Amino acid sequence: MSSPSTSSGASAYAGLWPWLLFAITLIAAPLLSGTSIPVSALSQAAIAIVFAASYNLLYGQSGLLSFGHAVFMGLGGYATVHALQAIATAQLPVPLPLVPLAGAAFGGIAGLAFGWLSSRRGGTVFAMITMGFSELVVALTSVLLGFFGGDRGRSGDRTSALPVFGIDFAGEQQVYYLIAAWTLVAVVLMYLLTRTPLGRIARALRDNPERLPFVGYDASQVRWRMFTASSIFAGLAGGLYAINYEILTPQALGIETSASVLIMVVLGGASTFAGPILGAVFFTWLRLDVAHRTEAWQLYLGILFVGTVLFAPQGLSSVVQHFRSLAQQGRLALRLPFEFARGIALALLVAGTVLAVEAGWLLSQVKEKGAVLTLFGTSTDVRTAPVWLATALLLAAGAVLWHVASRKALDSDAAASGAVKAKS
Amino acid sequence: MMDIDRNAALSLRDLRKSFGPVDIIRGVNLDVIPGERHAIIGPNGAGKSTLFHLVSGQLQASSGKIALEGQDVTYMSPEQIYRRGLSRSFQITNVFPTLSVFENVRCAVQWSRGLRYAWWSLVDRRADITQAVEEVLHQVGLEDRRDVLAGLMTYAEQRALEIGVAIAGGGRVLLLDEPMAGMSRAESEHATELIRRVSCNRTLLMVEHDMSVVFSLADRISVLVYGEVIATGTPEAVRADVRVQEAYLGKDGH
Repeated sequence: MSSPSTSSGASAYAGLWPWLLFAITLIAAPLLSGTSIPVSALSQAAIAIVFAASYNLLYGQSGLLSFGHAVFMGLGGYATVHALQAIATAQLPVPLPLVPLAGAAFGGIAGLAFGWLSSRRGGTVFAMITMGFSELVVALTSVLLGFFGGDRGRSGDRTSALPVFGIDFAGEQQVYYLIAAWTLVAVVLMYLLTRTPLGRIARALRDNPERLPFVGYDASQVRWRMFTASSIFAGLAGGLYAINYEILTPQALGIETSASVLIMVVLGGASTFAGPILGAVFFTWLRLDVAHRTEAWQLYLGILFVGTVLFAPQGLSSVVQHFRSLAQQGRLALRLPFEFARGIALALLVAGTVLAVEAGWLLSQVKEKGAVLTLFGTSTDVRTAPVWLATALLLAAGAVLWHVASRKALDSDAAASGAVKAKS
Repeated sequence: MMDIDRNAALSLRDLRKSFGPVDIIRGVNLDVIPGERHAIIGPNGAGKSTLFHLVSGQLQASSGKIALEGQDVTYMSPEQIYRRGLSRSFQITNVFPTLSVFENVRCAVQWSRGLRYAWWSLVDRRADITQAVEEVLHQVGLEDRRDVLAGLMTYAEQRALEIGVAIAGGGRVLLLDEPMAGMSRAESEHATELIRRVSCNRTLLMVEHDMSVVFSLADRISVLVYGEVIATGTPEAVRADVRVQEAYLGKDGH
């Protein structure tokens, strides 16, 4: 008898290549980056990956919209900082690679406790309760000073932990590899969780919570378990955050951090497992690189977010899936010219948007900054017509090209399928 | 008030449900014999679907008693009732649309096979689970569609999946809520055979409007009118019942 799960040979390992790619990227990133991408940015991206993937256990896998996920990362981070302090004071022989587990444990305990209440209902009620918890914990940071240390937060020293094979993790590259190793482990574990009976039933919960009792499951119990699992990994992300920055402030568990993880997941695409990972990397790049280049980076983030929700609800992962399904159907070569045209259209739209945002941004503060905008290697006065004409032209050209290319692509598909039918 | 029948697969006693001032179910008494195929018919608004919601735990009774195989389940939650051996299908297709057909059925197999909320084992590795799912798919004739997303199938296929999900948990008492709703003649003949097949070794309670289906499938029929059962008996007896003819068959022109 043949069964798909026990099929042997190459197909059994076909699913492994994305993991190999992921591992190689994690290992090779600092070597390739040179000076343009600092290692600290890579650490930040890796932490964001764990955080976003943990959030997607709720949002993408279970259909639960939480506005308080940063609470568990923050609490995990604080717990880890406390662990570092305890290790320093009591001279405990704990190696640093194990310290982030304090974050995972504390995040899990907090998730178990908060989840008990918030998991009773799904949908809007769940979202509201998580938001309430988030506000509650933020308020506690200025009350429980012993634990949170008030506005200035709490700090620890990662070199106070035991060195491993002579590595003391003082350098950024060393700590990056520690974070990257945990990232790989956490992402693999989260992926495996989605393949367990609990993970499968969570997807059923996402699809249709009303039906769940009629296949024997208590929806609140499924929610509670997934909530706790996701809090464990969020706590681990907090632990990695703590050993990376060696300081935790209340900002780490605030609503803004909770919103940013939602944005990461949506940008990357919640419906796939890999989407949030892409989204986390993309978001980190936006926050570091784009924010470095322009003050208006949050405006870009807003435009991107709204654009994604409206036009590409499956986020970045839909681009990958689009090309993959084209390749599977053997239509990639046929479609390539049109996809290329759409790429150009997208570039024109992005250029037009950037010009509009930058010119508008400068126009709003001409008094302070002057009216000369330097962009794409040219300088112009934003109070004159050419800038705005160019903006309109870029946006219009992009939109038209996109529309035409998409239309032609569909026409060519129809023609191709017609030819196939004629042949048979 | 009579007590529940401990030998019945399903026993309802003076069951009542009201929404505010409106009484929908007004004292239903019904005993379903183990192993029989029992149909509930009645005009629109008689309370058939409400009755199913009460029995399956989706709604809570205002008063009265529901016993499943002699066990009082009146105030249990739907999953508790399901775990005691009663499964149901829905009048409006109610599956997991973005999961494949295979996964839909597997979700329904998981609990009864003891997997519950397990997070330490991979479900793909469980050959016994896969086999159980494939058996159900074979029974409902969907083995060729196993990897299709449920939401993308034809209506008749979704109805078959709905039944597959209902039987997958191995419930001994099966409630089917208008399994033929919206089907063509050919589809409904096909579905009749399917129901005949899956109701072997089970107790079946079904609501159905299609009289030819009801009379060809059911061992006994109960007629529900305005929240009360006015007659229960073999198809012939019910057809001959004067009150039934007045209240239902005559007027509706079936």
